Amino acid sequence: MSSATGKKFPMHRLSTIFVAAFAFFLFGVSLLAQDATAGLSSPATVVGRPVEIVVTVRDARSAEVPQSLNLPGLRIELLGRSTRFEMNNFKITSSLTYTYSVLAQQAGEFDIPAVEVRVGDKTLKTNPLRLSVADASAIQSPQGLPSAPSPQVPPSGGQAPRSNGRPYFGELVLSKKKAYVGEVIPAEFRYYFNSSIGGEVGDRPNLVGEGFTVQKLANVPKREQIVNGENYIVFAFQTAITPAKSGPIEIPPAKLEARLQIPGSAPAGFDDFFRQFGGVAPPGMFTNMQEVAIETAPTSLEISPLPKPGRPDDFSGAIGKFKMEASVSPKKAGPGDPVTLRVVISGQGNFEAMGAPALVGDDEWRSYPPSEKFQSSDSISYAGEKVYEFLLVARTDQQQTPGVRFSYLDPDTGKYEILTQNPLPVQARAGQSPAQTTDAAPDQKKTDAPEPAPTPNRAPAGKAGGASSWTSILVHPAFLIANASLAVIWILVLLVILIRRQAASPSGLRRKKIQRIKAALAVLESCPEKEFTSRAVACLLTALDTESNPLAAGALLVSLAVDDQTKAQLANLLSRDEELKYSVGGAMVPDQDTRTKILSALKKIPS
Amino acid sequence: MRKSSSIALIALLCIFSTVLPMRGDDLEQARDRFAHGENESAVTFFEKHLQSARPSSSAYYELGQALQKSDKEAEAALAYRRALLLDPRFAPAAEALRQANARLGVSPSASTWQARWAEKVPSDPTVLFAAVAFWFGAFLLLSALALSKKRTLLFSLASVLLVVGLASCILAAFTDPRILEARQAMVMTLSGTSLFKVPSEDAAEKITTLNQGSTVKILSARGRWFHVELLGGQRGWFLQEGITPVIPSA
Repeated sequence: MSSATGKKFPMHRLSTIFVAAFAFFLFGVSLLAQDATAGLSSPATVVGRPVEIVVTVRDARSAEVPQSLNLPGLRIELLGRSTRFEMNNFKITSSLTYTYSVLAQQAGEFDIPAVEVRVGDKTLKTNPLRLSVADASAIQSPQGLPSAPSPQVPPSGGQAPRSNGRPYFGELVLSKKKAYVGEVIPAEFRYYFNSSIGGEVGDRPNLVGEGFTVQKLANVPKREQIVNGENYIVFAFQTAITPAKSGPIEIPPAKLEARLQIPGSAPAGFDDFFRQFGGVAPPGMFTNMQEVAIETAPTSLEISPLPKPGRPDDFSGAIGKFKMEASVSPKKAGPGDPVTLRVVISGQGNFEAMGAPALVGDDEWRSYPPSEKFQSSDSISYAGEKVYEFLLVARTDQQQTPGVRFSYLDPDTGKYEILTQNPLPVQARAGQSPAQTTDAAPDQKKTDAPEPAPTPNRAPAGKAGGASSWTSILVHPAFLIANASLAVIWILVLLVILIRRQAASPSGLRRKKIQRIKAALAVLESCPEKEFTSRAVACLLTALDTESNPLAAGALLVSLAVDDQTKAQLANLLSRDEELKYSVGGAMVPDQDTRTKILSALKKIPS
Repeated sequence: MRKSSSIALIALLCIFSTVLPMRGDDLEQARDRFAHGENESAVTFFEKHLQSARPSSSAYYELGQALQKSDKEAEAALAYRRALLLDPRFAPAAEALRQANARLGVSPSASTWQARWAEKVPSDPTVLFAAVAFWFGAFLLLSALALSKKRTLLFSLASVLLVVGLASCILAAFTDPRILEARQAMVMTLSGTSLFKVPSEDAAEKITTLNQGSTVKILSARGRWFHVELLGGQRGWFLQEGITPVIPSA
């Protein structure tokens, strides 16, 4: 830069002003994008061994940072500041670098919060950091394997990476190099790029090998790290390697492809251009774009088979370090109602391959295959908790749940451990579960491990309760037809009853009587003369409700509500009838006039 | 004539004797495949069985388990929901649906008194009991009308039976999930389904997006579109391809 503002050559003042103005313009434009990042020189250390935090503020000429950071267990103090200007293909970038010293005073996992950097009116925040600190005496595990303070970020085996002056290099960091078949080994592929080079990096490294499986690689946020005094940008990918066979296993190099801008020499003639201003071309002004494949070094693992001595019969295949907790809900269950026994296995290990815990003493319970749900607390499914939920239905009234037993292999000790959970208090009453009617034979006795975990594909099959149609019986055609038929029958019966009741009522009887009288009068009008008297008397008796009692008819006739003449006519009729019955010669046949009068009198009788 | 009818009868018996075991075979095949971890194949056989046989809650539950093992969470949730429609008291299916919904990120629907009732009292037997009680009461009422003695006692008994029968019938109608959820449908597409104000895929008319596993109520259909109502009462239009009715025949 200083060479660009030289004053030795007034002849070229115009060119000088132009170059300076152009450079200033580019510098000004680059100031628009400011950001602050932080990186640790090592993500893991031991008590008493200092590491560094490098806070880089890009595109800023001045900034304010705190002199120290207060974090219990760590002493973090600002060591110094440096400014750096770079020019890449005519683009000038400036960065301020603040270096903090971090001295751990106790072991543990430390989350270093974001550092606030004030640039002019703006306040920038760096990314938070995580530092694993181990005891100085506990760097080596009992097996002599590198310790793994955090599965998320395996340490470099206590050693900082070596750049050997290379602008970029790769590294595979394994938490251990001796393991068991099926054990999950957290690993991290790291690719270091000197901060002086730019470019593009591929999505993820390519790793192909035999005898092991690799989980999907998880990106780790880009960070900065000082290696051998040089600032490197680290692209890291976390994964978990699971050996599938015993014996030595080779982890081949994992390639990450990148297109990098490697600093190069200026084209012919440009050196002369700068030399005439009395200087040389700024470093980084000219770069060459190169496509490179960065490889990690091949690594070998020593894999042992699972130890046979002491292996429990119900070993679930779990390898790691685990804890177990259990709870039951509801505490009271009605007849046939299920209770849920919730078993939580937490810790670190091969969660995805492990089987379910076994129930102990569940003869008096009907259990179903447990549901399982894994909640990982890291990106590689190594740490977290797995929840198994057993649905239990009491066969007989129960006061406590079955016990739970879970066995696993502790890879550090090489011994099998057994976690047990005592039965939990619960009040469950026996009853028929809806899904009880399974295909299983009723006398099928369960073993101590009723639903073996490795074969969870056992559903409560068979003829469970419930409907066998999507249509409710309420709207089923057969049901509707049956009810309609019953309704018709009911209505018909009701009609019959009502008619009969109506007929038996006084009004019904009266109507019936009127009908009888009318019919009798109609017959009387057209009957033979000899039968007239007897039929007329019968009609009168009907009207008087005495039926076949002519003697009573005489008494009734007196109180009949008709005029005297009518009464006389009717009395005369009765006497004619007696005369006809009892006289030897018989009574005279009534003439037409008499018949008309009798008929008229009969019609006057009130019904 | 007699000979031809005999042949027809024998032919019918032969057909029945071959068809009926085939139905059972599908279910047995499905269970066998499922027990051996061949979940995709088990799903095929369960579906085949359910297409030919009467629906059963256990078959749908087992189908749901096989679908779940095949990483088809939404389909599994639908199967569990169907199992519960047929038998709301099927506790394992209810638990499995709850877990499937949790995995799908679908919030569980609020527990209604109808659902709680249906979990305790089976609908169809209730209806049958109600019908018997109602008609017994109805004919007892006729007897009371016809007879002249003990009419008060008969009337009282008939009234009680009529009221109990009618009330039970009405209760069953209001609590049977097959009636209540007859028009329910479930969002099956992985990316969810968008709800529009009008039957048009115009982005400006989009109201919201429902996650996979969400349920809606179908109000009507128009071409490729369903007019639906969300649980909160909001109404809109969905593309039919995105949702599946809970009751297969609906």
